[in-house]
Amino acid sequence: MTLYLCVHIHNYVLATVLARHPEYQDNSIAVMDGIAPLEKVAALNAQAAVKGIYSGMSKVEASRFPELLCIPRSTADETFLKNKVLQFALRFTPLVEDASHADGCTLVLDIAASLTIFGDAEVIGRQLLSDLMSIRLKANISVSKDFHTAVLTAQSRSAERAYRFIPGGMERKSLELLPISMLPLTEDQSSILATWGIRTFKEFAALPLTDLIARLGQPAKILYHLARGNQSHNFVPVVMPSAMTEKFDCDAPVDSVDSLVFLISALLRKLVERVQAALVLLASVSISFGLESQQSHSRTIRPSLPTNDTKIFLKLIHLDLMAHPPRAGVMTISITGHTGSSREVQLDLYSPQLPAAGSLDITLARIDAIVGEGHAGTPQLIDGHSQDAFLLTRFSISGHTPAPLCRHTVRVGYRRLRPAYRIRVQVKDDIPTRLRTNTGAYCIELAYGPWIVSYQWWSPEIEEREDWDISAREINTNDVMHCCISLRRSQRCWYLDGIYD
Amino acid sequence: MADSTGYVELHAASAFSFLEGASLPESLIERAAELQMPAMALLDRNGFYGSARFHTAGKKQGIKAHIGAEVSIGDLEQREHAYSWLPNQFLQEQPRLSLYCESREGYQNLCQLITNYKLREPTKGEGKASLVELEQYANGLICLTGGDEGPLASALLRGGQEAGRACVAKLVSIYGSRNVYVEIQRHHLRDQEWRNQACLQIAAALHLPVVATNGVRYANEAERELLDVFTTIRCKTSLDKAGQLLSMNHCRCLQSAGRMAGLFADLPNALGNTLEISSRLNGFELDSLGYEFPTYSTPAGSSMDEYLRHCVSIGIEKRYSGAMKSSLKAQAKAQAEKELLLIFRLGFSGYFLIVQDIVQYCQRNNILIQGRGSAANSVVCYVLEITAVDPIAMDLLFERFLSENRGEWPDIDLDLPSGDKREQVIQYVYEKYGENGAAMTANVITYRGRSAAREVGKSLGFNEETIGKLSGLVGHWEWKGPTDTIADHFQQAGLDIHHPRIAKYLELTLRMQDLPRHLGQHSGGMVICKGLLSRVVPIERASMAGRTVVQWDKEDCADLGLVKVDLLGLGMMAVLKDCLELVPAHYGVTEDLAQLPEDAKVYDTLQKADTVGMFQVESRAQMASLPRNCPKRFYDLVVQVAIIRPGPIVGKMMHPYMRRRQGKEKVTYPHPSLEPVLERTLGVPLFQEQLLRIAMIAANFTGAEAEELRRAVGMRRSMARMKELEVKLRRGMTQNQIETPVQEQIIQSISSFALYGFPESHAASFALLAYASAYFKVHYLAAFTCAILNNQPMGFYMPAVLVKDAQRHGLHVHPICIQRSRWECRIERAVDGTLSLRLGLMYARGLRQSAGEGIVASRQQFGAYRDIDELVRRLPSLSRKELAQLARIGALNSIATVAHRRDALWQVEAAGRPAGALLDREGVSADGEEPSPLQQMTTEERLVADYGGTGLTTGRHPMHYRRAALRHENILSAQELRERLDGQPVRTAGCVIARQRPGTASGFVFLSLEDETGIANVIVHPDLFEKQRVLVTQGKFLLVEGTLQNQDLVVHVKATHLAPLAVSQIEVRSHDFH
Repeated sequence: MTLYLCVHIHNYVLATVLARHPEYQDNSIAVMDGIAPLEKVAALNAQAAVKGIYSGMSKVEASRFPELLCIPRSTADETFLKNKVLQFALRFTPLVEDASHADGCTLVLDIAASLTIFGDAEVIGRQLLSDLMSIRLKANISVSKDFHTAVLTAQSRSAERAYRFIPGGMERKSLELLPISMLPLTEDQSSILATWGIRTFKEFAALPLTDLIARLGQPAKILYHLARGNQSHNFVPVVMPSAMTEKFDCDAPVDSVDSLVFLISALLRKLVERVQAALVLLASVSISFGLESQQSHSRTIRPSLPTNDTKIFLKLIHLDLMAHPPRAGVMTISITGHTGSSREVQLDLYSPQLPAAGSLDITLARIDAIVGEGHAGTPQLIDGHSQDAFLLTRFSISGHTPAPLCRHTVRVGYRRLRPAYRIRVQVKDDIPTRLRTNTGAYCIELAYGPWIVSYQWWSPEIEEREDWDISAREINTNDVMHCCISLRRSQRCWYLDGIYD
Repeated sequence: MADSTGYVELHAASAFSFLEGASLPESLIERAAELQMPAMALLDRNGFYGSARFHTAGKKQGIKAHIGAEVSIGDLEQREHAYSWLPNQFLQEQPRLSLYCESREGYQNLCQLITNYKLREPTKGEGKASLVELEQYANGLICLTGGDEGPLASALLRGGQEAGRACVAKLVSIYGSRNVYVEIQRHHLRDQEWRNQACLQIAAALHLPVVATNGVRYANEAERELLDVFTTIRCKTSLDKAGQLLSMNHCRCLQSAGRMAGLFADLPNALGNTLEISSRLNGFELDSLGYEFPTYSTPAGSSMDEYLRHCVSIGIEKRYSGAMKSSLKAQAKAQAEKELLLIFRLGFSGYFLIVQDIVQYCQRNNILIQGRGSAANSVVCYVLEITAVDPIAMDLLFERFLSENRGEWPDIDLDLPSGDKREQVIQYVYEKYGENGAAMTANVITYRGRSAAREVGKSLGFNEETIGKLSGLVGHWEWKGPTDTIADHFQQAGLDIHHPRIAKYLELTLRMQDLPRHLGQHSGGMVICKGLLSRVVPIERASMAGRTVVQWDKEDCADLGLVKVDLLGLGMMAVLKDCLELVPAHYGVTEDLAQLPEDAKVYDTLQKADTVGMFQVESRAQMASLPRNCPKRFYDLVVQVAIIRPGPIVGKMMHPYMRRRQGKEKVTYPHPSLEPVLERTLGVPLFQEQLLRIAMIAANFTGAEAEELRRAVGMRRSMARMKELEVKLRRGMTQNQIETPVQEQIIQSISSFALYGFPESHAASFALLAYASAYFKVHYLAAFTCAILNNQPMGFYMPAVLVKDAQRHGLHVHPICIQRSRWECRIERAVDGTLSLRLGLMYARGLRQSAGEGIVASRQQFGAYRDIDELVRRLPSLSRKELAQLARIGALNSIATVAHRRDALWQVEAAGRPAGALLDREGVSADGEEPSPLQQMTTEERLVADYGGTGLTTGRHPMHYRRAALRHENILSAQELRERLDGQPVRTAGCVIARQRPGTASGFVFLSLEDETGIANVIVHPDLFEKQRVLVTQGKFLLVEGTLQNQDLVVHVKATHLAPLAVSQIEVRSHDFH
């Protein structure tokens, strides 16, 4: 026996805004989405629609309505509230399926087994509605033996009651008045049904199945059963990420990182034992310190691959705490493990042996600790005229063979200085003649240039510079330096960009 | 400003190097003039596209315009780019050699070379020359090794100095060491300087001179931005993603001699050599192209003049032999003699004979043809049957067509039925003069508001939705109000023009306006040449199969003296041709266009403005003036055609004429001597010919002088010459004792209508067609409607309106039927002999012509279709969508097994999905099939299906179904409006069939609303338009409240309020004259 309870929140994007800001309830509201200057109305309430606002309207257009309240969309709020709804649902059953469309919130609970605990479906439904009201969300709940009937009736805009129970055998009847557009039709199917004059589930369900399949193909069978409320469904419950936590309260404030790591190691071992018992791996570990100053300090350690190797975790935690130590004595330690599944990577048989993932993580963490976070990784060139046009990405295993070196090999070694080194330059007849650094003064003997570069004229990052390749001699030591200097026009400053070997 | 003459820019590309240059040739010349450059060379990619304009602009500014081109070379490896490892790469293309024309021979060689490889391409494309061809056409050319795009740069990148040297040596072997210069450019780029050093070593090794250029791609630094945008369009990317495809700096602009001297201080000879090359190139200018119009091959022994005289004399006998015309024969002979003497003196005999040859070809092949424009002033044209208007009978003035002082070739435009017949004539000209002897003139397609906004938007990375919304808002109304700027469109699209990125978008869109986008072909202008046209201007393939185009547009051709013959397609000519075939076939009478009688019924119809579908007199404005003009004879129609034009309206001639026509104003003349000239137009000067005659009578001007005066006033080209002519005009009028105030009045009159007047001859030619169309519509409605529906799109109204109008006139129009319809519409005869119209399958949207013709062919071969399965079996090529469309519009209802449209839809969905070989036999797949469970379509659904599937309905007008309700709300029909008094407040409603915002109407919008009784006209004030812009521009059915204007049988509603009207969900298409 099955019984499904569907919770659906209409206009979820707007609903989340109103849940956060109930004071806006009586205003005309438009929720704006997108990046400036192309923000658009993503959702709106009825008061706004009456005034002529529509979904997709640009912010500039919407701003012409002085009484309209434009509120930026918050996907974080949406996710947070959805998780809350899920938490509520999970209190009644672990079998919850997320049947939401893109920006919506539709959850289906398999409550067949829960009835023995909670008694009646209506009790569950009413309790859920009450829970949702506590976070200022209004929902429609529909209960049916058929999964899709529960979903479709809950999603139906014509649903008059917040809670609706569809008795067994009444599924088809309950769906009759729904518009055909609520079926998951392809564009082609929609067009054909429109020409046939089929507008409701009732009309569609009345068509002879065999003839329908002969015309629309096998997918029509699913649509047909959906319309009749007897389409079977494979329930896919939401898998909640499991988190395990170990805590420790200190008798006195702990200031030393080594001491902290020692305490953490005991907690970590307990955590790993629990994780191993559950036959899963640790994907990340979050450590939260309660500080003497009543503040908290949190760090998360995430190795490249899930692992239960405490040594790796401890070393990574140690390096991280060295870089980001708590700012006050630690009074409490809480360590939470987030589990994940092990991923196996099939590499090429002839690929060179790679270092173990754990060792690599530690090495990288060590480098990070030396050079600073974000200063180590794989450089990725950005195609453009900017000198600093590159990205640093995390080291990763790449399957592709590197491109062969181009035949126009660079004949001169060149060391770029990052960041470029500010210098003072003396110019005569638009040609640099002398330069001074913090370490010395140079007389420029040869100067080639200027090599003029201007780029990104269409954006605020517009930059223009003049590069010179020079040969300069140190006035005191007679040392010769071949280098590239540049004048950045926006700053009116000279920089030493690099040195030719 | 710079010091003047030390440098000549020899390597500039204009925006005619499509997407590789950002300035017009005129802008380059303007900048060169600012820099006091004595000369400049233009080298566009693979052609002389911008050369004509460059030359003309150079002449105006006193700058020598050197001509050359960058020629793609195919035998070398593809162009190399320095950074082959970058993610964004330039398009694969060949290196291009810079070639300059030192002499006419060089120019002709370069033209032929470009033509050869362009025509070698199977379709429109860039093409590339072989080294053998370069050798073949090397004479008279100077070669530079080029910049980035050149073969030397590619060779150096590919194989270093060794390859570079071999490349230059090859060029020397082709052009000779005297004609090869090693080119150096300095744009402050490291890589380029590396290449320059290699070039200098190669030049030294081969003892070749070095020349400096700046490889110019734009006139000013700021235009580098446009070039970058063009680069992204070319490489189909955006500015943010293009990376190093974009230029590194803005140094490829025109530089002064001083700046170049600074850049090349180490190579003074490189600058000096630009002057040397320039002096060598002085030997050729585009003025001396060597173009000659073809000679006509006359019968043995006679010259062209003699043969033309012979043809004219035969023509006079033929044209003036009838009883009505014989009285004019003597006058015609005298006029012809006068015209012939001038034609002989100007050497234009061949031109007339060649045009006559085209006309005769059409006559031999039963193709309607008629000359239009000022040619109708010539009796020679009339007797050669080039034109159809008798200039003697109509007293037209020859000098408007041809005069000695004009210094131009005559301009004869020939109207042909649009479509296959016109193509046949064009192909005849190609055949006669050869692929290298004739070509269409080009039409330069430029970036306009919509296209510029779209391309710049893509380049700046805006999403498709924003771009689409913006381009949809760029209006095309003829009237541009204060809120119709591109900036306004940006704001209407919801874009904040103060945001820096949007501001840049707007700025670039504005700057991109009018820059060339690509080369199209002119609608009908053909250039022909004595000898090889391909040695006068390069010829290339057009997009349309079988067509070739020259690289210049019609203005360029005219500026450089190339003669074109316009073979223009005219939809109404095709309609008349079809009528001439349909009338004898279905009415049993034969009509001759040249002999159509003056018919009272036709004039009666015209007077009532019942003119939907008639040539030139069907528009709303024409309909509004016809009852006032009340045409009673042919000349009234000539005036009617001419008067509803922007010219007479702006020139304030229309209303005085109409008032006089209605007897509301006295007919007066500026001077009694002008009465014969202005009598026909009731003292109001309307035609250009009248201007000429006024000058001739009032001031004793010769015909040629009068024409010169018209052109001088009309074009305002030479103020000095205009002053001279004005002095002469006053002197002549004084001699003729015309008083000073009258002189002022005449001069004022000439000044105003010279700008706006219409040629009487042109109006007469069009009036002939207007009358013929009216005649056929009045007397042979079925044939006329059939012909006009078969030749869409054309005219002012959509087919839906034409069908409804025909139905209101009593024609029975049948819907598309698979058992009866042909591809085109056809006439059917009922048992009682009445004629009706059957819509053709061509009106079933989405049905391919081959499929439609297949349906007809199979029906003719195997008989009617018995059921839908049989239809599918007989025509397996019919797609399921096509079958569904036929079912939806009711075309399958006549099949015995089909009960109604939805039944057909039910059946075709099964039949359109074959069951497979096992069951796919006659009678098998239908077994066991239950009757259709679908409901029959409602009336509304049928209307939606009709309009959606065919664009029209043969059933009742959608408004008919709402009439009772509308009447209840006191909403009047179009017919009822006519019965109400002027000034009454009224309410009316209808389907919008046309919208106009004419340039002469100060922002007023005119809407034509159709209902089941006819068409009502609505005037929308600019203020109301601004308030309800979306409704006015997009509303399908409108309810209008306003004041009725019912004067002189002309009815309008001056709207005070507009509202959408829920009549039907049909997709009505209006004809919007934006």
